[in-house]
Amino acid sequence: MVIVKVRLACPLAPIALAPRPIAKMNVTHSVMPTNSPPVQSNPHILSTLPEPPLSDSVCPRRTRWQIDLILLAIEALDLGGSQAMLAASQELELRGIIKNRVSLWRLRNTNPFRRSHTRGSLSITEAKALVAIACHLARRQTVLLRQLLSDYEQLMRKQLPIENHFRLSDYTERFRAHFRSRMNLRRSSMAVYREDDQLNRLAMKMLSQLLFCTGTYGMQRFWTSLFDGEVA
Amino acid sequence: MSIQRLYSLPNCTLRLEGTQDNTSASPPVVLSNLTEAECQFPGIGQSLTGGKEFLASLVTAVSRYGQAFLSGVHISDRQSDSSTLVHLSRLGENQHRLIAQLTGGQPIQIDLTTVQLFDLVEAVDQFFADTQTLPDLSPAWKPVSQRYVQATVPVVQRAAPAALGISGLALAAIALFFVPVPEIKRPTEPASQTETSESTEENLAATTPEPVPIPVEPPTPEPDTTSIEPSTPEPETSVEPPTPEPSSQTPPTETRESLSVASLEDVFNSSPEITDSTQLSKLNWRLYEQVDRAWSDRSDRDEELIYRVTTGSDGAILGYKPVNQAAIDLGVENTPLADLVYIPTESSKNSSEPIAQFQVVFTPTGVVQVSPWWGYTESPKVTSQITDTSVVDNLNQSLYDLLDRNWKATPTFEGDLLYRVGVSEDGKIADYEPLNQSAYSYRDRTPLPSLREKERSLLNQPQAQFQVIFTPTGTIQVTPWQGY
Repeated sequence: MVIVKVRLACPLAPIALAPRPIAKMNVTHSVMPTNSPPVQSNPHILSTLPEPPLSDSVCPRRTRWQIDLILLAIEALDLGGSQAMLAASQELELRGIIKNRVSLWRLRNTNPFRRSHTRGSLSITEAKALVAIACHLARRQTVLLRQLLSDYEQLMRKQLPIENHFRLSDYTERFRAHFRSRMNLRRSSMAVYREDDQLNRLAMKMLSQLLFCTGTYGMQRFWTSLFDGEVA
Repeated sequence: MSIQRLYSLPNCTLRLEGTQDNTSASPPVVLSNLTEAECQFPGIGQSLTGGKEFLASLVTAVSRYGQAFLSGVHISDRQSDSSTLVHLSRLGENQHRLIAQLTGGQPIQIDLTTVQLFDLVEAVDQFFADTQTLPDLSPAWKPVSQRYVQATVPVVQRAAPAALGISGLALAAIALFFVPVPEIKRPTEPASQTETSESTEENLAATTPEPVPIPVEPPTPEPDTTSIEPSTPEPETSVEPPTPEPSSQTPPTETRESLSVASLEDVFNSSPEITDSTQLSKLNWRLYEQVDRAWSDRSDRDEELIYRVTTGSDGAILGYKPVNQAAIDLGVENTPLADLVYIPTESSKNSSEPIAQFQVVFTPTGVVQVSPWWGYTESPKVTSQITDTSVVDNLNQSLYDLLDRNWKATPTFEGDLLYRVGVSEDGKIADYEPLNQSAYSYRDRTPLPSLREKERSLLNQPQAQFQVIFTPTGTIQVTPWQGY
């Protein structure tokens, strides 16, 4: 006798953000995963992100830069992006960490390449909250992201410029505008982004990163990648 | 009882077949013994089939590559601990290559676009998330360790000082152009006005790319009373074993030559060469610093670029010449060196000054290597020309004050930063050199690069040498090199 169990998970459908078991060690008959008990002070979603093995509980520079950048890509993709971030903070019960627009702005300004960079630090918990919001919003755009990236691959194959695609050029244009209005282009490491071409490439790179954030373990993978090369 | 599991996405389908362990008969049905795993790519029309080992290698490689795709930090298989049945590598911005070595066959190669790669990653993720299929395979969320990425820091970070360096050098070059050359004893002849303008034209001509082998022009005689060290003309071919022996008599050269490609060859051949290892090692570091800062575009190359570079006794680059084919193909102008060449204000006479030659290599991984063309004849030593105890004592104090006043940043490094610092008689920092790895990595977090005098001629004036240590706790220790 053959039991066939087909899992037709269509990636086009937004994937529910139900807490997923992070390890498969305890495959029991219970319905709830028991290996990741919710931490008192932390909303459950944050406990699905592992603690990075850092010597202190403050995020490295690259982590802060990457998080701000992925949020910027969301804003460029979705007109109401910044409003949606606050709404997502509410939905994911992260209001204890990101209370309002000001605290969101303050956290994003820990990105060292911002014009208004404050020397404040970004704690691991705050970073987790921002990543959870970014991935939550990315999942809503799964269909659009796939579409745009497939179209982009076609443009590349035909060696056509992005400007030939209305939705893509709209996105890259907004990305460039957001980037230039917020990042400190006088910083020497930002100098390459004075050129449209370089910023477009960055915008497209962020778009594919957003797609990877939508995956089943996209949030965990994105989170872990933020510390690549930063841990001992 | 056979069980099948299917994880299906538009561009990738992962099919697993196996049986249940006898020990747990009651539901849920858990696939715990894998008999066959198949990974299909419908859009491409290819598929991979294998057993448990293949699946384990596939899911590990795919998950790790997905992470590397996000962070940009790729580590090679050599450094990772997994088996290498399945290997993924980046082809281009939107191309990824999967190579699978299946049992008893040729390696299979599949090129994926980013969207196709995503579907593969997602199929693997859905398998990971399925607690009823091979529960012993689970994702490991582990960031890549720092020690694997030293040489592969993203371009953005590495390029950080470069742009600044270029603009700074450009400004310096412009400024220098208007500064009269300090009067140095030049017993030969005064260059006439017309000659100067002529050679300026030559300089302009020199910047046009001309990557062909350069014929040696027969040198013309010139009385040279200042010759420091005589040397023989080198044979023309550039990549041959060094013969560092200076001998007989200075081959005379035309005095107006500056750095046109042809005349550069003369400079290579005719000027007395610096052979003192201590001086060479100082110049080596100076040259490295300049080139490392100026090299902004470190995008991937297939081959390394090798140049032979001539500097003056003050470390200024007088000229350079491509050595290997890749460097020749690139053209003379398209290198970071092009921006650095020192344009002499009084074009002519540098050919009678001692020069040093170095080999500069730009590696495909984005690392600059600088070494003396002829090697070191002995190991470099540090020598203080200023040895008077009371003077050294004063300089020690003033150096400490200078560094202390200017070091405002909070230390963000681990371990002591160790430097050699050369101080001129009037207390200016004439030269510095990192002595350990962290000193080298974090030199921009110390005030040393900015405090070192822009005036290059200081390098060759008498100096007192000090050892300077910046500690992570924020203290500075200054001690004379030779001790008290």
